[in-house]
Amino acid sequence: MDSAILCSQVKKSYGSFILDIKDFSVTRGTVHGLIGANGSGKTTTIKLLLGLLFPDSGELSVLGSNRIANDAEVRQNIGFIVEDASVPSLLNASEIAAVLRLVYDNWDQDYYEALLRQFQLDVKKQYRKYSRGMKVKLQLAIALSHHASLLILDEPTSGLDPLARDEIITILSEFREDENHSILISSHITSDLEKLCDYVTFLEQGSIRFTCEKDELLEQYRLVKTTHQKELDMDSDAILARREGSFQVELLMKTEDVPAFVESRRLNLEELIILLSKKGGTV
Amino acid sequence: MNALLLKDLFLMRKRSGIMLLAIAIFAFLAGVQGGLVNTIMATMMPLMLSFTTLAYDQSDGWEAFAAALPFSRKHIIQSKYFLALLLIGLSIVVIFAIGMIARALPMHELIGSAITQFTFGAFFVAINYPLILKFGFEKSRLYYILVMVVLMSFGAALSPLQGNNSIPSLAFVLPSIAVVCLIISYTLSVSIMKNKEFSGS
Repeated sequence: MDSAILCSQVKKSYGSFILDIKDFSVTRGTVHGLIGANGSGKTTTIKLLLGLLFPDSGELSVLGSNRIANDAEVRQNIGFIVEDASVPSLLNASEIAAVLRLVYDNWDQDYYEALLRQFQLDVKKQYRKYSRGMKVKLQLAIALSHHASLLILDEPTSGLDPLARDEIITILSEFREDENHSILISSHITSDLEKLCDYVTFLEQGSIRFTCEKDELLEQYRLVKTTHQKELDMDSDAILARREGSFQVELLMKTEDVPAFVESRRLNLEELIILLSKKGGTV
Repeated sequence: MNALLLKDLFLMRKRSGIMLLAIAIFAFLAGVQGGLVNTIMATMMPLMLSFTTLAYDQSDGWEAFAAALPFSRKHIIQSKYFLALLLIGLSIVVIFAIGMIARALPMHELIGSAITQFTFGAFFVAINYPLILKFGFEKSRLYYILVMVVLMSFGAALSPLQGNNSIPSLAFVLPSIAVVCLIISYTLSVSIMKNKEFSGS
Protein backbone atom coordinates (compact mmCIF):
# COMPACT_ATOMS: atom_id res chain seq x y z
CA MET A 1 0.00 0.00 0.00
CA ASP A 2 0.99 3.58 -0.68
CA SER A 3 2.72 5.29 2.25
CA ALA A 4 2.13 8.87 3.34
CA ILE A 5 5.12 8.67 5.69
CA LEU A 6 8.17 6.43 5.63
CA CYS A 7 11.09 6.37 8.04
CA SER A 8 14.01 4.02 7.73
CA GLN A 9 16.97 3.71 10.11
CA VAL A 10 16.38 7.26 11.36
CA LYS A 11 18.60 8.39 14.20
CA LYS A 12 18.53 11.69 15.99
CA SER A 13 20.33 12.57 19.16
CA TYR A 14 20.52 15.68 21.22
CA GLY A 15 21.75 15.88 24.75
CA SER A 16 21.38 12.49 26.33
CA PHE A 17 18.29 11.63 24.28
CA ILE A 18 18.57 9.32 21.29
CA LEU A 19 15.73 8.62 18.90
CA ASP A 20 16.28 5.46 16.92
CA ILE A 21 13.54 4.54 14.47
CA LYS A 22 14.42 1.45 12.50
CA ASP A 23 11.30 1.24 10.40
CA PHE A 24 8.10 3.23 10.54
CA SER A 25 5.40 4.02 8.03
CA VAL A 26 1.96 5.56 7.85
CA THR A 27 -0.23 4.09 5.15
CA ARG A 28 -2.12 6.60 3.04
CA GLY A 29 -5.77 6.80 4.02
CA THR A 30 -5.22 5.67 7.60
CA VAL A 31 -5.01 7.23 11.03
CA HIS A 32 -1.84 6.30 12.84
CA GLY A 33 -1.35 6.97 16.52
CA LEU A 34 1.98 7.54 18.21
CA ILE A 35 1.75 6.48 21.82
CA GLY A 36 4.35 6.94 24.47
CA ALA A 37 5.14 8.58 27.75
CA ASN A 38 6.52 12.11 27.95
CA GLY A 39 10.06 12.09 26.61
CA SER A 40 9.58 8.90 24.59
CA GLY A 41 10.34 10.65 21.28
CA LYS A 42 6.90 11.49 19.88
CA THR A 43 7.55 15.20 19.41
CA THR A 44 11.04 14.59 18.06
CA THR A 45 9.62 12.17 15.49
CA ILE A 46 6.98 14.70 14.45
CA LYS A 47 9.49 17.54 14.23
CA LEU A 48 11.71 15.39 12.03
CA LEU A 49 8.77 14.71 9.75
CA LEU A 50 7.98 18.42 9.50
CA GLY A 51 11.59 19.35 8.76
CA LEU A 52 11.99 21.24 12.04
CA LEU A 53 14.75 18.87 13.08
CA PHE A 54 17.26 17.15 10.84
CA PRO A 55 18.06 13.46 11.26
CA ASP A 56 21.64 12.48 12.06
CA SER A 57 21.22 9.51 9.73
CA GLY A 58 18.57 7.48 7.96
CA GLU A 59 15.84 8.33 5.48
CA LEU A 60 12.55 10.11 5.87
CA SER A 61 9.88 10.49 3.28
CA VAL A 62 6.70 12.52 3.65
CA LEU A 63 4.12 12.42 0.84
CA GLY A 64 6.86 11.14 -1.43
CA SER A 65 9.35 13.88 -0.58
CA ASN A 66 12.58 12.89 1.12
CA ARG A 67 13.72 16.49 1.60
CA ILE A 68 10.75 17.82 3.49
CA ALA A 69 12.68 20.71 5.09
CA ASN A 70 13.22 22.18 1.62
CA ASP A 71 10.09 21.01 -0.13
CA ALA A 72 7.63 23.87 0.15
CA GLU A 73 5.33 22.32 -2.45
CA VAL A 74 4.76 19.15 -0.45
CA ARG A 75 4.16 21.20 2.68
CA GLN A 76 1.16 22.75 0.94
CA ASN A 77 -0.47 19.37 1.55
CA ILE A 78 0.38 19.04 5.21
CA GLY A 79 -1.59 20.41 8.12
CA PHE A 80 0.16 20.35 11.46
CA ILE A 81 0.05 21.06 15.14
CA VAL A 82 3.36 20.82 16.89
CA GLU A 83 4.74 21.75 20.27
CA ASP A 84 6.65 25.08 20.45
CA ALA A 85 5.41 26.16 17.03
CA SER A 86 2.57 28.59 16.93
CA VAL A 87 0.95 31.55 15.26
CA PRO A 88 1.85 35.11 16.35
CA SER A 89 0.34 35.67 19.76
CA LEU A 90 -0.67 39.28 19.12
CA LEU A 91 -2.70 38.48 16.02
CA ASN A 92 -6.35 37.49 16.03
CA ALA A 93 -7.95 34.70 14.02
CA SER A 94 -9.00 37.09 11.30
CA GLU A 95 -5.48 38.54 10.86
CA ILE A 96 -3.96 35.07 10.96
CA ALA A 97 -6.27 34.06 8.11
CA ALA A 98 -5.24 37.15 6.13
CA VAL A 99 -1.62 35.97 6.43
CA LEU A 100 -2.24 32.28 5.76
CA ARG A 101 -4.42 33.01 2.74
CA LEU A 102 -1.22 34.22 1.11
CA VAL A 103 0.64 31.09 2.20
CA TYR A 104 -1.62 28.24 1.11
CA ASP A 105 -2.74 27.88 -2.50
CA ASN A 106 -5.90 26.04 -1.41
CA TRP A 107 -6.83 28.19 1.55
CA ASP A 108 -10.60 27.89 2.06
CA GLN A 109 -11.74 30.99 3.90
CA ASP A 110 -15.39 29.84 4.08
CA TYR A 111 -14.40 26.56 5.68
CA TYR A 112 -12.05 28.34 8.09
CA GLU A 113 -14.80 30.69 9.17
CA ALA A 114 -17.24 27.78 9.51
CA LEU A 115 -14.77 25.97 11.77
CA LEU A 116 -14.25 29.09 13.88
CA ARG A 117 -18.02 29.37 14.29
CA GLN A 118 -18.27 25.70 15.14
CA PHE A 119 -15.50 26.07 17.72
CA GLN A 120 -17.09 29.30 18.99
CA LEU A 121 -13.86 31.22 18.63
CA ASP A 122 -13.90 35.00 18.81
CA VAL A 123 -12.20 36.14 15.58
CA LYS A 124 -11.27 39.53 17.00
CA LYS A 125 -9.63 38.20 20.14
CA GLN A 126 -5.83 38.00 20.17
CA TYR A 127 -4.48 34.47 20.05
CA ARG A 128 -2.58 34.99 23.33
CA LYS A 129 -5.86 35.68 25.11
CA TYR A 130 -7.36 32.34 24.07
CA SER A 131 -7.53 29.48 26.55
CA ARG A 132 -5.41 26.37 25.87
CA GLY A 133 -8.43 24.64 24.34
CA MET A 134 -9.24 27.60 22.10
CA LYS A 135 -5.63 27.77 20.91
CA VAL A 136 -5.67 24.11 19.90
CA LYS A 137 -8.98 24.59 18.12
CA LEU A 138 -7.62 27.54 16.15
CA GLN A 139 -4.52 25.56 15.23
CA LEU A 140 -6.71 22.71 14.11
CA ALA A 141 -8.85 25.07 12.04
CA ILE A 142 -5.65 26.31 10.37
CA ALA A 143 -4.43 22.76 9.78
CA LEU A 144 -7.74 21.83 8.13
CA SER A 145 -8.51 24.98 6.14
CA HIS A 146 -6.16 24.43 3.25
CA HIS A 147 -7.47 20.93 2.49
CA ALA A 148 -4.27 19.11 3.34
CA SER A 149 -4.11 15.43 2.58
CA LEU A 150 -1.90 14.70 5.59
CA LEU A 151 -2.32 15.92 9.14
CA ILE A 152 0.62 15.64 11.52
CA LEU A 153 -0.63 16.42 14.99
CA ASP A 154 1.42 16.49 18.14
CA GLU A 155 -0.66 16.06 21.29
CA PRO A 156 -3.66 18.00 19.95
CA THR A 157 -5.91 16.90 22.81
CA SER A 158 -3.47 17.31 25.66
CA GLY A 159 -4.64 19.65 28.41
CA LEU A 160 -8.19 19.84 27.07
CA ASP A 161 -11.41 19.03 28.87
CA PRO A 162 -13.29 15.88 27.75
CA LEU A 163 -15.85 17.90 25.80
CA ALA A 164 -13.24 19.78 23.79
CA ARG A 165 -11.32 16.53 23.20
CA ASP A 166 -14.44 14.86 21.91
CA GLU A 167 -15.11 17.79 19.59
CA ILE A 168 -11.60 17.53 18.13
CA ILE A 169 -11.85 13.76 17.74
CA THR A 170 -15.15 14.23 15.89
CA ILE A 171 -13.61 16.75 13.47
CA LEU A 172 -10.68 14.43 12.84
CA SER A 173 -13.05 11.51 12.29
CA GLU A 174 -14.79 13.55 9.60
CA PHE A 175 -11.44 14.36 8.01
CA ARG A 176 -10.49 10.69 7.81
CA GLU A 177 -13.64 9.81 5.90
CA ASP A 178 -11.84 10.81 2.72
CA GLU A 179 -9.77 7.79 1.72
CA ASN A 180 -6.90 10.00 0.52
CA HIS A 181 -6.55 11.64 3.89
CA SER A 182 -4.02 10.40 6.41
CA ILE A 183 -3.35 11.42 9.99
CA LEU A 184 -0.35 10.89 12.21
CA ILE A 185 -1.36 11.85 15.70
CA SER A 186 0.66 11.63 18.87
CA SER A 187 -0.86 11.54 22.30
CA HIS A 188 -0.36 10.13 25.72
CA ILE A 189 -4.16 10.12 26.09
CA THR A 190 -4.65 6.65 24.68
CA SER A 191 -8.45 6.75 24.93
CA ASP A 192 -8.46 9.46 22.25
CA LEU A 193 -6.27 7.39 20.01
CA GLU A 194 -8.39 4.31 20.58
CA LYS A 195 -11.42 6.14 19.19
CA LEU A 196 -9.60 7.40 16.15
CA CYS A 197 -6.72 5.24 15.06
CA ASP A 198 -6.38 2.36 12.64
CA TYR A 199 -2.78 1.72 13.63
CA VAL A 200 -0.74 2.46 16.72
CA THR A 201 2.98 2.73 17.27
CA PHE A 202 4.29 2.55 20.79
CA LEU A 203 7.44 4.54 21.45
CA GLU A 204 9.53 4.00 24.53
CA GLN A 205 12.77 5.79 25.34
CA GLY A 206 13.35 6.81 21.76
CA SER A 207 12.71 3.41 20.18
CA ILE A 208 9.67 1.78 18.64
CA ARG A 209 8.44 -1.04 20.85
CA PHE A 210 5.82 -2.09 18.31
CA THR A 211 3.58 -1.00 15.48
CA CYS A 212 0.30 -2.83 15.10
CA GLU A 213 -3.19 -2.52 13.74
CA LYS A 214 -5.20 -1.29 16.72
CA ASP A 215 -8.11 -3.77 16.57
CA GLU A 216 -5.74 -6.65 15.95
CA LEU A 217 -3.63 -5.54 18.90
CA LEU A 218 -6.64 -5.35 21.22
CA GLU A 219 -7.85 -8.73 19.98
CA GLN A 220 -4.49 -10.40 20.68
CA TYR A 221 -4.59 -9.87 24.45
CA ARG A 222 -6.90 -10.51 27.35
CA LEU A 223 -6.88 -9.40 30.96
CA VAL A 224 -7.39 -12.27 33.35
CA LYS A 225 -8.59 -11.56 36.85
CA THR A 226 -8.03 -14.47 39.14
CA THR A 227 -6.94 -15.56 42.59
CA HIS A 228 -3.35 -16.25 43.58
CA GLN A 229 -4.31 -19.88 44.06
CA LYS A 230 -5.60 -20.28 40.52
CA GLU A 231 -2.59 -18.49 39.15
CA LEU A 232 -0.44 -21.34 40.41
CA ASP A 233 -2.34 -23.72 38.11
CA MET A 234 -1.58 -21.63 35.06
CA ASP A 235 1.37 -21.84 32.67
CA SER A 236 3.75 -19.16 33.97
CA ASP A 237 5.27 -18.66 30.51
CA ALA A 238 1.87 -17.58 29.19
CA ILE A 239 1.63 -14.75 31.73
CA LEU A 240 3.05 -11.70 30.02
CA ALA A 241 2.55 -9.17 32.78
CA ARG A 242 0.83 -9.04 36.13
CA ARG A 243 -0.73 -6.44 38.34
CA GLU A 244 -1.16 -7.19 42.00
CA GLY A 245 -4.50 -6.48 43.68
CA SER A 246 -5.54 -6.91 47.35
CA PHE A 247 -7.46 -10.16 46.88
CA GLN A 248 -6.92 -10.88 43.23
CA VAL A 249 -4.25 -10.65 40.62
CA GLU A 250 -4.61 -9.26 37.09
CA LEU A 251 -2.71 -11.03 34.37
CA LEU A 252 -1.98 -10.07 30.81
CA MET A 253 -2.16 -13.03 28.48
CA LYS A 254 -2.38 -13.75 24.78
CA THR A 255 -6.01 -14.54 23.92
CA GLU A 256 -5.21 -18.08 22.83
CA ASP A 257 -3.36 -18.80 26.09
CA VAL A 258 -6.23 -17.94 28.42
CA PRO A 259 -7.30 -21.16 30.24
CA ALA A 260 -10.98 -22.09 30.29
CA PHE A 261 -11.21 -22.07 34.08
CA VAL A 262 -10.68 -18.31 34.45
CA GLU A 263 -12.65 -15.28 33.40
CA SER A 264 -11.08 -12.81 31.04
CA ARG A 265 -11.99 -9.62 29.29
CA ARG A 266 -10.75 -7.45 26.45
CA LEU A 267 -8.50 -4.57 27.51
CA ASN A 268 -8.72 -1.01 26.40
CA LEU A 269 -5.67 0.51 24.75
CA GLU A 270 -4.52 2.35 27.85
CA GLU A 271 -4.57 -0.77 30.04
CA LEU A 272 -2.82 -2.74 27.35
CA ILE A 273 -0.08 -0.17 26.87
CA ILE A 274 0.55 0.06 30.61
CA LEU A 275 0.81 -3.70 30.98
CA LEU A 276 2.91 -4.11 27.86
CA SER A 277 5.25 -1.44 29.18
CA LYS A 278 5.76 -3.62 32.24
CA LYS A 279 6.25 -6.69 30.10
CA GLY A 280 9.19 -5.38 28.08
CA GLY A 281 10.26 -6.83 24.74
CA THR A 282 8.08 -6.65 21.65
CA VAL A 283 4.53 -7.62 20.76
CA MET B 1 7.08 36.64 1.08
CA ASN B 2 3.95 38.80 1.06
CA ALA B 3 2.47 36.71 3.86
CA LEU B 4 5.56 37.15 6.01
CA LEU B 5 5.64 40.90 5.40
CA LEU B 6 1.95 41.21 6.18
CA LYS B 7 2.45 39.31 9.43
CA ASP B 8 5.30 41.66 10.39
CA LEU B 9 3.25 44.72 9.52
CA PHE B 10 0.40 43.46 11.72
CA LEU B 11 2.87 42.91 14.56
CA MET B 12 4.56 46.27 14.11
CA ARG B 13 1.21 48.03 14.05
CA LYS B 14 0.35 46.43 17.38
CA ARG B 15 3.70 47.19 18.99
CA SER B 16 4.30 50.66 17.56
CA GLY B 17 2.23 52.78 20.01
CA ILE B 18 4.35 55.46 21.65
CA MET B 19 7.29 54.52 19.44
CA LEU B 20 5.51 55.97 16.40
CA LEU B 21 5.29 59.31 18.17
CA ALA B 22 9.00 59.19 19.02
CA ILE B 23 9.85 58.29 15.41
CA ALA B 24 7.71 61.18 14.15
CA ILE B 25 9.43 63.64 16.52
CA PHE B 26 12.94 62.48 15.56
CA ALA B 27 12.03 62.51 11.86
CA PHE B 28 10.65 66.03 12.19
CA LEU B 29 13.74 67.26 14.05
CA ALA B 30 16.04 65.53 11.56
CA GLY B 31 14.21 67.17 8.63
CA VAL B 32 14.10 70.62 10.19
CA GLN B 33 17.25 70.86 12.32
CA GLY B 34 19.39 68.05 11.00
CA GLY B 35 21.85 66.59 13.50
CA LEU B 36 23.35 63.15 13.70
CA VAL B 37 21.41 61.91 16.71
CA ASN B 38 18.04 62.93 15.27
CA THR B 39 18.86 61.39 11.91
CA ILE B 40 20.13 58.10 13.29
CA MET B 41 17.32 57.75 15.84
CA ALA B 42 14.70 58.37 13.14
CA THR B 43 16.19 55.42 11.24
CA MET B 44 17.04 53.09 14.07
CA MET B 45 13.74 53.30 15.88
CA PRO B 46 11.69 51.83 13.01
CA LEU B 47 14.38 49.17 12.69
CA MET B 48 14.05 48.42 16.39
CA LEU B 49 10.36 47.81 15.70
CA SER B 50 11.32 45.28 13.05
CA PHE B 51 13.64 43.62 15.58
CA THR B 52 10.63 43.38 17.89
CA THR B 53 8.94 41.22 15.26
CA LEU B 54 11.94 38.88 15.42
CA ALA B 55 11.64 38.75 19.20
CA TYR B 56 7.96 37.85 18.93
CA ASP B 57 8.66 35.30 16.20
CA GLN B 58 11.00 33.52 18.59
CA SER B 59 8.98 33.78 21.79
CA ASP B 60 5.67 32.87 20.12
CA GLY B 61 7.10 29.91 18.24
CA TRP B 62 6.30 31.53 14.90
CA GLU B 63 9.86 30.98 13.71
CA ALA B 64 9.29 27.21 13.99
CA PHE B 65 5.73 27.48 12.68
CA ALA B 66 6.93 29.38 9.60
CA ALA B 67 9.67 26.81 9.03
CA ALA B 68 6.96 24.15 8.72
CA LEU B 69 4.83 26.28 6.38
CA PRO B 70 5.26 26.07 2.62
CA PHE B 71 8.07 28.66 2.43
CA SER B 72 11.71 28.07 1.87
CA ARG B 73 13.76 29.18 4.85
CA LYS B 74 15.56 31.57 2.52
CA HIS B 75 12.24 33.37 1.95
CA ILE B 76 11.84 33.90 5.68
CA ILE B 77 15.20 35.70 5.80
CA GLN B 78 14.53 37.56 2.57
CA SER B 79 11.36 39.03 4.01
CA LYS B 80 13.20 40.24 7.13
CA TYR B 81 15.93 42.00 5.14
CA PHE B 82 13.38 43.37 2.70
CA LEU B 83 11.37 44.80 5.59
CA ALA B 84 14.51 46.40 7.05
CA LEU B 85 15.43 47.99 3.72
CA LEU B 86 11.85 49.15 3.31
CA LEU B 87 11.95 50.84 6.71
CA ILE B 88 15.31 52.48 6.00
CA GLY B 89 13.99 53.68 2.63
CA LEU B 90 10.83 54.98 4.22
CA SER B 91 12.70 56.90 6.91
CA ILE B 92 14.94 58.46 4.24
CA VAL B 93 11.92 59.52 2.19
CA VAL B 94 10.10 60.94 5.23
CA ILE B 95 13.05 63.02 6.47
CA PHE B 96 13.82 64.16 2.95
CA ALA B 97 10.19 65.18 2.43
CA ILE B 98 10.07 67.06 5.75
CA GLY B 99 13.35 68.78 4.85
CA MET B 100 12.01 69.80 1.44
CA ILE B 101 8.79 71.16 2.89
CA ALA B 102 10.45 72.98 5.82
CA ARG B 103 13.29 74.31 3.62
CA ALA B 104 15.36 74.75 6.78
CA LEU B 105 18.34 72.72 5.58
CA PRO B 106 20.46 73.02 2.44
CA MET B 107 20.10 70.25 -0.13
CA HIS B 108 23.62 68.85 0.41
CA GLU B 109 22.81 68.38 4.08
CA LEU B 110 19.62 66.50 3.26
CA ILE B 111 21.53 64.25 0.89
CA GLY B 112 24.19 63.76 3.57
CA SER B 113 21.44 62.86 6.00
CA ALA B 114 20.03 60.26 3.58
CA ILE B 115 23.49 58.71 3.16
CA THR B 116 23.95 58.64 6.95
CA GLN B 117 20.55 57.01 7.41
CA PHE B 118 21.27 54.31 4.88
CA THR B 119 24.76 53.64 6.20
CA PHE B 120 23.84 53.38 9.85
CA GLY B 121 20.61 51.55 9.18
CA ALA B 122 22.42 49.00 7.01
CA PHE B 123 25.18 48.47 9.60
CA PHE B 124 22.60 48.15 12.37
CA VAL B 125 20.70 45.45 10.50
CA ALA B 126 23.79 43.72 9.14
CA ILE B 127 25.27 43.21 12.58
CA ASN B 128 22.14 42.49 14.58
CA TYR B 129 20.09 40.15 12.38
CA PRO B 130 22.52 37.23 12.31
CA LEU B 131 23.15 37.63 16.05
CA ILE B 132 19.43 37.56 16.86
CA LEU B 133 18.87 34.59 14.56
CA LYS B 134 21.78 32.66 16.00
CA PHE B 135 21.50 33.42 19.70
CA GLY B 136 17.89 34.50 20.06
CA PHE B 137 16.61 37.97 20.83
CA GLU B 138 16.96 37.65 24.59
CA LYS B 139 20.59 36.56 24.52
CA SER B 140 21.63 39.03 21.84
CA ARG B 141 20.01 42.00 23.57
CA LEU B 142 23.35 42.98 25.08
CA TYR B 143 25.08 42.89 21.68
CA TYR B 144 22.17 44.82 20.25
CA ILE B 145 22.63 47.70 22.71
CA LEU B 146 26.38 47.51 22.26
CA VAL B 147 26.08 47.75 18.47
CA MET B 148 23.84 50.76 18.83
CA VAL B 149 26.28 52.53 21.17
CA VAL B 150 29.28 51.73 18.94
CA LEU B 151 27.50 52.97 15.83
CA MET B 152 26.41 56.16 17.55
CA SER B 153 29.95 56.79 18.83
CA PHE B 154 31.37 56.03 15.43
CA GLY B 155 28.93 58.46 13.87
CA ALA B 156 29.74 61.12 16.44
CA ALA B 157 33.46 60.68 15.77
CA LEU B 158 32.91 61.07 12.04
CA SER B 159 30.50 63.98 12.18
CA PRO B 160 33.19 66.72 12.44
CA LEU B 161 34.59 65.33 9.22
CA GLN B 162 31.30 65.73 7.36
CA GLY B 163 32.05 69.22 6.10
CA ASN B 164 35.71 68.44 5.43
CA ASN B 165 36.37 68.47 1.70
CA SER B 166 39.47 66.35 2.09
CA ILE B 167 37.37 63.29 2.68
CA PRO B 168 34.41 63.60 0.32
CA SER B 169 34.89 59.96 -0.56
CA LEU B 170 33.57 59.02 2.91
CA ALA B 171 30.08 59.67 1.58
CA PHE B 172 30.71 56.99 -1.00
CA VAL B 173 32.97 54.60 0.88
CA LEU B 174 30.88 54.12 4.02
CA PRO B 175 27.60 53.26 2.27
CA SER B 176 29.54 50.90 0.00
CA ILE B 177 31.03 49.14 3.01
CA ALA B 178 27.53 49.01 4.52
CA VAL B 179 26.17 47.33 1.37
CA VAL B 180 28.95 44.74 1.45
CA CYS B 181 28.26 44.09 5.15
CA LEU B 182 24.57 43.75 4.40
CA ILE B 183 25.23 41.16 1.70
CA ILE B 184 27.57 39.19 3.98
CA SER B 185 25.04 39.46 6.79
CA TYR B 186 22.21 38.22 4.56
CA THR B 187 24.27 35.24 3.38
CA LEU B 188 25.15 34.44 6.98
CA SER B 189 21.53 34.73 8.12
CA VAL B 190 20.31 32.44 5.34
CA SER B 191 22.91 29.89 6.37
CA ILE B 192 21.93 30.16 10.06
CA MET B 193 18.26 29.75 9.21
CA LYS B 194 18.83 26.82 6.86
CA ASN B 195 20.72 24.95 9.55
CA LYS B 196 18.48 25.92 12.42
CA GLU B 197 16.74 23.17 14.33
CA PHE B 198 13.64 23.79 16.41
CA SER B 199 14.01 21.39 19.28
CA GLY B 200 12.03 23.67 21.58
CA SER B 201 12.38 24.03 25.30
